[in-house]
Amino acid sequence: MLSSERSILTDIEIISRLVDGSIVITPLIAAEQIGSTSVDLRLGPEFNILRRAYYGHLDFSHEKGEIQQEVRRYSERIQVKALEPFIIHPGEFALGATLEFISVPNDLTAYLEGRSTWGRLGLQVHSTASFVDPGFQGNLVFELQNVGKVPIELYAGLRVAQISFNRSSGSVQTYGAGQNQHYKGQLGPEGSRFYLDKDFERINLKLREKQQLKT
Amino acid sequence: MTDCGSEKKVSESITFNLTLPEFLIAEVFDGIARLDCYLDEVELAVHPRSGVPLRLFRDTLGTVLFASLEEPLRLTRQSTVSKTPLGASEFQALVNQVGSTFIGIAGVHRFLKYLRVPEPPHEIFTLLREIQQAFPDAGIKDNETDVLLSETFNYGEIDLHTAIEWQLQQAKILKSVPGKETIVIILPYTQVNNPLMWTIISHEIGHFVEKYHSLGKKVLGKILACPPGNVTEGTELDWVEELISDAVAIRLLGPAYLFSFASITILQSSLGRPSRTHPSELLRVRVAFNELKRTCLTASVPIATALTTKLVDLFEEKFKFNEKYLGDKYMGPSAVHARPTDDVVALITQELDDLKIGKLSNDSLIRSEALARALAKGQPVSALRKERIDLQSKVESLRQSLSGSTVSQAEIMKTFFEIRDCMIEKPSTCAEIINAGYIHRYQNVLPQILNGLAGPAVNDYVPEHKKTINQVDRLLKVSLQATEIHKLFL
Repeated sequence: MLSSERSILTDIEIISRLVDGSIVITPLIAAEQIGSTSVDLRLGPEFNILRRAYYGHLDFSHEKGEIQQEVRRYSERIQVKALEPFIIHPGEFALGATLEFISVPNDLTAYLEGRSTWGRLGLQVHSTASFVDPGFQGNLVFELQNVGKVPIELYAGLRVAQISFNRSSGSVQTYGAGQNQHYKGQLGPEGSRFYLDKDFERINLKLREKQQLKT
Repeated sequence: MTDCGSEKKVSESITFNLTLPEFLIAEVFDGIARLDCYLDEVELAVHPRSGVPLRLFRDTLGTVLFASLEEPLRLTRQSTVSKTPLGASEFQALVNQVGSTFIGIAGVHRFLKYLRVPEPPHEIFTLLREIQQAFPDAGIKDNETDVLLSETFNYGEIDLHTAIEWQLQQAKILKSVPGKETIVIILPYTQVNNPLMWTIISHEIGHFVEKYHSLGKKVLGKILACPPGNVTEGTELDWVEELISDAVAIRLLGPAYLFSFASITILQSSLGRPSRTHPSELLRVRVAFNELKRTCLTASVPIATALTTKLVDLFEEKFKFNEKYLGDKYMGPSAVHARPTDDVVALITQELDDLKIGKLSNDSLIRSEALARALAKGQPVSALRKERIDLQSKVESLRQSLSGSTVSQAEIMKTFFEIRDCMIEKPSTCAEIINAGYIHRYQNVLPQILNGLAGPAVNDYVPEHKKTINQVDRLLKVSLQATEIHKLFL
C-alpha cells in the first residue's frame, strides 16, 4: 500500500490522475512544475484592482442585482501583455488568477499555497481561501498582497504558487452539485460573489426591511 | 527524450444537422444576442451614459429585432412537425425576414457609438502577430498593422498612409506623405470579444499581401491570357483580388475563415449577385472550399471536413433557391466567373505557393478537433498534451516497482522522468484555438439555439444564449492569453 486513505497525493499519483484525466491542470508548461507532492502554478495575465476613487463602500442594503453591478464596477480588470509587469506596491491588494485551468475530481480536495521564493519578498498569494473543494473547475484566484516594504514586479507566467491534493472520497456534496457553486468554471480573477450566499440574501432582506421601516 | 506518441484520433459523431431555415434563424438570433451582450458591457462601464439611450437600444432589441424572428420560427416549427420542407413562398418569406433582421442589426449597430467606444483587446494582436509570422517576407512581417473597432457593421482594411496622402493631394497642399503603408483593420464594435470573427483579419491581411506582390494582376493576366502589365484596374481585378485574399485567409486560418465568411454573408437575401467590388458570395465560397481541400481538409479531420462540407451545401442550397425564385444568374458575366472554379483556384494557388506563406496544417486541424471537445466541457484550450495509449500502463508498472524491491532506484528515477516529461503540453496556435471554437459552435452552440427556441417566445431563450456567448468568448480569449504566455517558455 503506497499511501493511507487521507494522505497527500505523491508525484506519481498526481501524474496518474493527469493521465486518466481526473485531474486537469492546463497549460502544463514544464515537467519541473510537478514536484514530489505538488504542482507549481503560474500567474495569469489578468488582475482585479479596486477602484477606490469611485466608491466608498458597497451598500449591502441595495437590491441584489444592483449589488452585483456595483461589485463589478467597484473593481477594474487589468490585463498585462507578455513581459509587461504588474507592479504590486507595499500594502496593496489585488486579485490575480492561475494561468492554469484546474479541475479537481470528486474524490480529492486541493490546497493552494504560495511558494517560499516569493513569500520571502513579501508576496502573499492568498489571505483566506487556500482550500479547493472536490469537483471544482476553473482558474484559482489569488488574493495577492504585498506585505513587504518594496514594490514587487510580477509577470504573467511566473510560478508563484503550488497546489497539492488530498484524498477525500465519500463526500456527498461536491462543488457544483450542491448550492455552493458561485465560482464553478470561473475564468480569470473573478471578484467576490458574496451576494449569492443564502445567508447574505437573508441579511440583505432584513436590512431592506429595516430601511423601509425608517422611511 | 521520450517519444510522447501521436495524438489520439478523434472519433465523434457530427451533430450539426440544421436545415437551411434553421441555420439562418440560429445565425441571426446569435447576432442579435451578441448585440445584447455588448449592451450589458456598456451598462457595466464605470460611468455609463444616461440610461435613456441604453433603454432605447434594449427595447429595440426586445420588441423589434428578437420579435421579428417569431414568424420565421413559426414556419420552421411547422415544417419540422409536418416533416415537409417549406414551400417556395414560405421559404422566400423566411429569407426576406431574416435578411431584413440582419440589415436591422447593422442599422442599430451604427448608433452604438453614442453609447461607448470600445478598445480592441490584447488578444486580437496576439492573433495578428501570429498571422504576420506566417509570412517569410519581412515587409509584411514587420508591418505595423493596427486594429480598430468601428460602429459600422462591416469588416475592412484601410491603408492610412495612402488615404491621408490622397486627401492631401485632393486639397492640393502636398504630393507625398512621409513613411510607408500603415494598415488598419476595421472590425465592428460588437465583435470586440468574439475571437471567432477576428478571423476576418486574415482576409484583410490577404489584401495587403496581394497588393504588395501585385498578385491580382498576375492572376487576372493569366485568366485573360495577357501580360500582367496589360491588366487594367476595374471590377474584374477587384474580384480577383478578393478571391486571392480569401485564399490567403484560408491558408492562414483554414476552415475558420470559411465559417466566419458564412456568418457574414449567408443571411443576405441573395448569394449569387456580384457587386462592383466583390464577386458573388457563392464563387467566393467555392474558391475557399476548393483551397481548403487542397491544403488541410483530409480524412484525418472528419469533423472539420463534415462541418465545412455541410456549410458549403447550405450555401449551394440557398443559391439554388436564389437562382430559381429570384432569377439570380450564376456569378454574372465576366471572364473570372466564366472560368471553372478549379482553374481560378489553381492559378491563385500557384502564385501563393511561390510566396511560401505558412499554411495551417492538417495536424493543426486534428488538434483543433481534440481542443473542441475540451471547449465543450468548459475548459480553455491554450494547450494540448499528446495522448499516449501506453502511458497509464507505464505509470502502473512504475507504481508497482516503487512498492517492490527488484528495480533499482536509478531505473525508477529514469522511468519517472520519462513519464513526467510526457505531461508537458504543447501550446496551441491561435488558428488551432479559433478552429476549435468554430467546431464547438457548429457542433454544440448553433444546434442548442434551435432547441432553446422551441419555447413559446423568442425572448425567453435570450438570457440563456447570452450566457453561452459570454462563456465561449471568454474561454477563447483566456486560451489566446495563455498560449501567448506559454510560448515565452519554449
